[in-house]
Amino acid sequence: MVEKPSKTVPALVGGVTLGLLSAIPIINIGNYCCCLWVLVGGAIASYMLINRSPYLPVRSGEGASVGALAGVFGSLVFLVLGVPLFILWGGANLAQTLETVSRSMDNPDAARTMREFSRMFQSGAGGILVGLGVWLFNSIFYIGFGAIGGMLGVSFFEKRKGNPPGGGYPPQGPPYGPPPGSPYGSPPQGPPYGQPPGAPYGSPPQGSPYGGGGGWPPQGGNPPQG
Amino acid sequence: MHSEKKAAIVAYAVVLFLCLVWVGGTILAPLLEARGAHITGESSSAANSRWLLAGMCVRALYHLVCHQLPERSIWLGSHPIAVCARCFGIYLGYLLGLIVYPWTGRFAKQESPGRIWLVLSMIPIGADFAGGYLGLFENSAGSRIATGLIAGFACVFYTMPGLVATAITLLRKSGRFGAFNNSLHTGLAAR
Repeated sequence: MVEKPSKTVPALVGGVTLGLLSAIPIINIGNYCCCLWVLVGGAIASYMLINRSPYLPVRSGEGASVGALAGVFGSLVFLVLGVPLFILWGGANLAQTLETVSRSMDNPDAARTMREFSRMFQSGAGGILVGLGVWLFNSIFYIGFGAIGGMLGVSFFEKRKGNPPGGGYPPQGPPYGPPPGSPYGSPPQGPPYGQPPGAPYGSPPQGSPYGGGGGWPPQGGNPPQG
Repeated sequence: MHSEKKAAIVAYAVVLFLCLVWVGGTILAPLLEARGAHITGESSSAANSRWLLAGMCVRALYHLVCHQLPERSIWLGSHPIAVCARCFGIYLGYLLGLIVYPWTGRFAKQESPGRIWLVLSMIPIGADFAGGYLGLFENSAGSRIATGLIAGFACVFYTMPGLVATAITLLRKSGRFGAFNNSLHTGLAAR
């Protein structure tokens, strides 16, 4: 029975990809398009899983699980790379967004309050706390959108539907035939109980074991005396 | 089959609830901020801060998945919603797809439709994005919402089967654990 391929390596590759793309500044802007890199990471994981499963078609549920696992690995990569980068630069990006929103507010008191909160993201301790909070929420998004990416990847890349190709599983062939290159060679042809070559007792003698004319019972004559 | 239907109902209910919360949150942020902006009186500053802080926290959450550019967003009064128009269209389309999904005859299915429909559903949103980005034409909030609706609606049919299959797997695993417990108690009682 063929076992299903492990999801670890595909999820690791997909997770490292999405983690790197999500952590590197400027490139991570792609995630502003509905977590694009996370979806891509999940799709990469499902694509690798499909390639590692030559007999069994990968189903949508397996795509979801490998995508979610890729999200877990991606969040770990983001923790190592992305959080320090966010603390250094990302907090300023978020603060700028809040500044932009505050400028468009009609109420000056509300706008001032929002600007005060936006400055909090740029402080030392506040920045670290916010960075870890961002990682926590990012992890949830990575797992969720990674699963979605995995399912979409299976829908897009998996061409096999339902049963494996050829209608049979395992691969077609005589079920009990000798394997190729068998150490015992091929079974002999002909009757299974025929004389093996070079029998140790030679060929049986020809004719009657009791001498004389042939036949049994002996024809005529007297039985042996004595 | 009965347990599979049950798993499908559980998966559907969970996804629908999460989607309602997600879409509702995009509208909640401007409502909270507007509430904080309209409080008057001696304690208005503290009250403003609480409502604004709540709205800002919700908005910061959606900042992880969207650029939130005000000029690309739908406005509720004097505040933009927490995501851009295209993202809102995608999420709203997904919610609408979920609402009609039980009546499509695919409720408990674990296989998604052919990928041609997924590709076709992504063409409008891809063309709208590319056209605006390359300067071929000027897209609008309406075109972003409409193309997002189509893409989000289609995504339901390519994600729900996988979620149903995952729910069935989880229920089966919990059932296997229950059977193990039963056999364990039976074995101990027989001694």
